[in-house]
This record gives sequence, C-alpha cells and structure tokens, in this order.
Amino acid sequence: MRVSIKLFANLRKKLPKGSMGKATLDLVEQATINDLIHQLDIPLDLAQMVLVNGEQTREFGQALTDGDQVSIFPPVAGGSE
Amino acid sequence: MSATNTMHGWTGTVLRVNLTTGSITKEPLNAEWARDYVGGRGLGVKYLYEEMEPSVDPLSPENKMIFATGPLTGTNASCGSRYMVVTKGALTNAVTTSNSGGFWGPEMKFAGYDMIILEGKAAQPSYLWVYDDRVELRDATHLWGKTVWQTEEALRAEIGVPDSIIASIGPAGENLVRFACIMNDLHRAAGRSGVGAVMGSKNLKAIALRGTGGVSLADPQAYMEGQWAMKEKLRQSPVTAEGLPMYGTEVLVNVINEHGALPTRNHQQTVFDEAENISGETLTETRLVANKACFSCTIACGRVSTLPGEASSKYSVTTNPQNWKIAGEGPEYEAAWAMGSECGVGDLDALIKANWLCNDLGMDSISFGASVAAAMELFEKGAVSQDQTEIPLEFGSAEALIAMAEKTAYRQGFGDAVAEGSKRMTENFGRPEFFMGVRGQEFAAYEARAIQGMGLGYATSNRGACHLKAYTVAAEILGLPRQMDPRATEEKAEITKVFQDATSTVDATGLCQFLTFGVGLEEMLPQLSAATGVAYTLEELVHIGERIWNLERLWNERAGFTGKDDTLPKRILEEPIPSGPAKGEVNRLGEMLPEYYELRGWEKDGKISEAKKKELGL
Ligand code: SF4
Repeated sequence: MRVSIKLFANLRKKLPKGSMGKATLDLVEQATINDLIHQLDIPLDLAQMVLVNGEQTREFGQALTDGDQVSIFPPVAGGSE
Repeated sequence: MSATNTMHGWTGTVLRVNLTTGSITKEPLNAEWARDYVGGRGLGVKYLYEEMEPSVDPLSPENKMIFATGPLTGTNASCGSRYMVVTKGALTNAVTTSNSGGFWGPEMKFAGYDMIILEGKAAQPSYLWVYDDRVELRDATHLWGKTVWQTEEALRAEIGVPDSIIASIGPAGENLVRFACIMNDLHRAAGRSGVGAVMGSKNLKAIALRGTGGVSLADPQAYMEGQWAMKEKLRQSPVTAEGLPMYGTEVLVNVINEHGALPTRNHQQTVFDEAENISGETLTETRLVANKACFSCTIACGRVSTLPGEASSKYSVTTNPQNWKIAGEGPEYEAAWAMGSECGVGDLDALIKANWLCNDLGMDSISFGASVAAAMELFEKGAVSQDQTEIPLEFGSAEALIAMAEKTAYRQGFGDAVAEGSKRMTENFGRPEFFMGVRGQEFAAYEARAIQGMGLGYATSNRGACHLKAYTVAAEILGLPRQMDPRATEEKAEITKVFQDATSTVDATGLCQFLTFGVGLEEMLPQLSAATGVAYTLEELVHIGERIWNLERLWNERAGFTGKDDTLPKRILEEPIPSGPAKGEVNRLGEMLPEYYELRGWEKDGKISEAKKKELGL
C-alpha cells in the first residue's frame, strides 16, 4: 500500500533536500504508524504530534490503509505528551 | 520623597500628563490596588475603571491612555520585557489591553515609573520626553507625517541621547486608522484594537524614554533563586528552548493547516494549499537572518528576515524605499496568516514586505490583513466594484495587498474604507455577514469551527476577538498542558476560564505570555513575591486573574456591552466547513456558553452577579 507523508520542522532532515518534507512511501499491508516511523528512521520520542488524515492520534499500533496521509511534527512545535 | 520609596518591584510612582493643559505630575502608586491587581494589564484596567466614564468616544479627549508595566518588567526574569497600553479601543469601543515587548517597558521602569497616564488632547502635534525625573512635553509638528522608522531616527537625533527608547505612531495612527498600533524599537507593536488611533487622536506622536535607575528587589537572593529555576525549566522545554528560537511563532502555519484550522479567504475555507510557501520552515530556510530577543528574554522568538536581491523590489512601494534591501523583523504567525492565507496570498516575500510596511506605517498587521480579506470577499461577491476599489481586489493578489497597506494608512481611495476595520466596512457596503470577528475586532489565526474552545475564547474575550486572552490552542492542538480533542465541546468552558484567568495574571506581572509554553504561574510566583515583598500564594494569583477578567467585563458592561455580544459570526455558527480535515464542522458555542457563565458565577444572561462582584472585591 502507499501512504503520503509530510514531515515538519527539523524532522525534514530525514528526507532528501528539496523534497519540502513530502514523500510517498510503499509499506507492507497492515503496516502501523510505528512501522512507518521506524522506516523513516525517526526516534519515537521525536514523533510528538502525529496526524492521520488531519486527526491527531497517539495509537501508533494502528494499521494504516492505502492512501492515508500522515503528518509528523517534532516536539519543538508543541504536541501531546 | 514619600512612602512610595519603600516599594520593591514597583517603582511606586505614576507619571500623569494632561495633554490639554500641559500639566505633568508625579503621584504615588496606589499600593492597595498594586497588591490586588499586580500591574500591567490588571493595574491599568483598575485605574481606567476608577478614573474614566466608559461611555466616552474612544477618539475624544475624554478617553485616557495608560501605559503600564508590571513589577517584573525590567528585572532579569526571563521575558520581563512587557508593557501594556490600556484604553478604550478605537476599533472595538471596549476596554483594550495591548501588549508589547522590546525594550521600552523596562526603560520606563528605569526612568522611575510604573505607569504613564495620558489625559486630554494636545493643541498641536507633541511628543513626551522622559529622562529619569525630567519630563517635558515638546512640539512634534516637524515629526507629524513621518513613518515609525523615520520618527525613531529623527527623534533620537533631535534628543541627542543615543540610548533613548521610543514608542511612536506612524501615519496610520495620525490618520485615525481604526486598527493603528503603537510601535516601539522599530518592530515591536502594542498591536490590537486601535491604540495607535487613540494616541493619534490626542496629537501625541511619540514617547521617548531614558532611565538610568534600576528595579529594586525586596529579597534579591530569593528572587535570583526563583529566576534561575524558571530559566532552567525553559531550557528543558522543547518549545521554549528549541521551537520558538528556531522557527518562531511561524512554525504554527503548518501545524494549524494540517489540522484543517487555518482560516483561508476570509474564512471561506480552512485549509490553505499554499501554506508551505508561507510557513516557518520556508521562512527559516530562505529568508531568516537571525532570531532576536526582547529585553532579558532567554527564548528569543523574534524573526529577523531579509529580502535579498530582486525580492526587495518585487512589489513597488513609496514608503521608505531605501529600507527594502536591509533586514527587518517578522512576520509572526498571526500576521502571516492574516495577510497570507486569509487573503489567499501565498508569496512569502510579499508578506515580509507587507509586514514591514505595517510596522513602518504603524498598523496592526492582523486587523489590516483580515480587513483586506473582508474587502476581497466584498469584491468577489460584487458588493464593491473595481470603480470603487481602483485595483482588482482579488483573493491571492500580492500586488493588491501591498498597495492596500499604503492606501489604508494614508486613507487614500478605497483604503479609507478598509481603515474603518472590517466590521464598519462590511456594514457600510451592506454585507455585515462578511465581518469575521467579535466586538468589532477581527479574529486571529485559528478557525473556531475546527477548534471549538477558541470559539468560546473569541466570543467572550473582553477586548474583542483575540488569541492572547485564552490560548486554548495550547491544549486543543499542541497538547499543553494536556491534550484535548479540538472538535469536542466538553470541558472547553472550564479550560477557557482557567486560561483566561491565568493569562490575566501573567499579563499583570510584566512577563511575556510565551513563557507559558514552558512554565506556569508556579514558576513565576517566587520571582513575583521576592521582587515585590508581597507573599502571594498560587491561589491568590489565580484569584487576581479572575478579578482582572471580571473587572474588564464590568468595564464593558458599563460601556454598554451585554451577554448578547458574546457571539460569533453566522458563518462560524451555521456554515459547515466545506472541505479538509474539519469538513462539516460548525462552532457549537451554544453548548459551551451556558456552562461557561455558570462556572464564572454570572447570571444566565452573562451579567456579572452581585455575589461574584462581592467575592472579588469589585
Ligand atoms: S518570547 Fe519572544 S515575544 Fe516574548 S519576550 Fe521573548 S522574544 Fe519577546
């Protein structure tokens, strides 16, 4: 399945320069938010605010579905504990 | 002098200037009021409440202006930089408390004053020059017409004291633009509700200060311990230690847009497809020179930005063309929203330029941008024609935005209509439903249909729609101090009240609200008590905030406002968001407001109950 991701603030370093924090990723079926964060090589404590299709979630074990949009902000922008 | 010399934290002296008669007097600060209202916003409102009839025309000589510092202003407490302008707002007819940082507030303390109270109206353009205990009202005829940046330069040269700190109005204030602001240190604004127009109506161009004293502390050792403890906490918070210094408030563009809560094209949409272009990330990567701090601040959220090469001349302006190749400050998130997504403008360079123009001309960039956005909707819907506007006022037009900045400040052509603010302007063209605000003041950068608590905060804000009186975004979006669902109405009445009261107290101390991203009243308390020698408790500080909130409300009641004014525009209450993550939402104010009144201990119609007045000593 394919999901589009957006990374913000200093998490943008995780993607090639010029990508403006945007990418499309292929994930195995049933992949979770945790898997995605791992694949992006983002330390878990830096994934402070995660939105799936515009809704915040802390349930990182939740399986993603094809076409989901995932946005990840680091703690510098606030975010839930 | 008098017993006032025994005060600590406070200087104990109020400077009173009657501009009509030219009389200048110094009087002891009312110590009892100081204890009960602390300073800044609280004490300023108390004095205004006691001294002035609230029904006066805000632009008449009968309106008073109070420049008020807090006991921690001018100390080395982190962010002890603040002063408040307290007056009847030219935009709102409500009490306003407009806050600014930089270096001006501390300088007033060093000169020996807690507050400067201005009364009446000068016969000709004047400025006030305060050098410690020497105070003079001088002719400013030769400065009238100058922009803010020209004024600071000319005035400092004339005074001949290089370290003098200046607060002034620009052409917008002189021309009584309803949302004119007061600028200090070139780029810092007491921004909202038209305090600059009030100053202009008094023929007062500027207040220049130089102080060589300091702030006396009751218990220096306890004070130092308190301030180190707070600085340590600020150092540990990712927002105050990293986020604000690195990205400034602009980091919020993407955060709020991703939540579908970035008002766009006069609130017709809530997602802006060009948000990336105007975001904190883009500003930092492409236009940022450095970050900058106000007096004694360890956060340094200020942005110093530049327009290199051709970007500087991309949009032509007549105001200070020599300035466009150097660096200036901003834009802040709220300004980038108002002039950016709210006007559909996705060109960062245009926003930097328009923001500098607002600063130089002395206009609130939030109300200016939002009023242009309302004008753009009038244009889009055919309520005004190009014959009237002269230029095509189309959403997305950076040229129109920049052109309107100068036209508005000088009230030229259609700028004269915009200068009235969007409430009066939309009424004048028969489409009041296009006004996006409360009590005459335009909203800030958070969509109340997508963030329910902000709707309640806007509706009940004493100075008209405002994000700085109860920043529930912290809880509803940023998860500080705990995460709340932005779409839910449960518990929003309570969090709104708690935030309103706590913020009122912070605004009274002389500290900057941005501290609250990293610390709370608990961390401010030891410094406040040690500085003043008053053994405040946390409970008392919260109670003081509640007292300030209620006094402002009482002032507004006397000015003619009622619970009926605690409302939101029809678009926000009835028109569902058309697309994006918050699609289908409206603000459910009706579910929150009765609970809010009850928690406040007010009557069902929003009137402050006699019992509450008694409890708070009002
Ligand atoms: S946090 Fe920002 S606005 Fe507040 S005092 Fe510091 S630099 Fe000024």
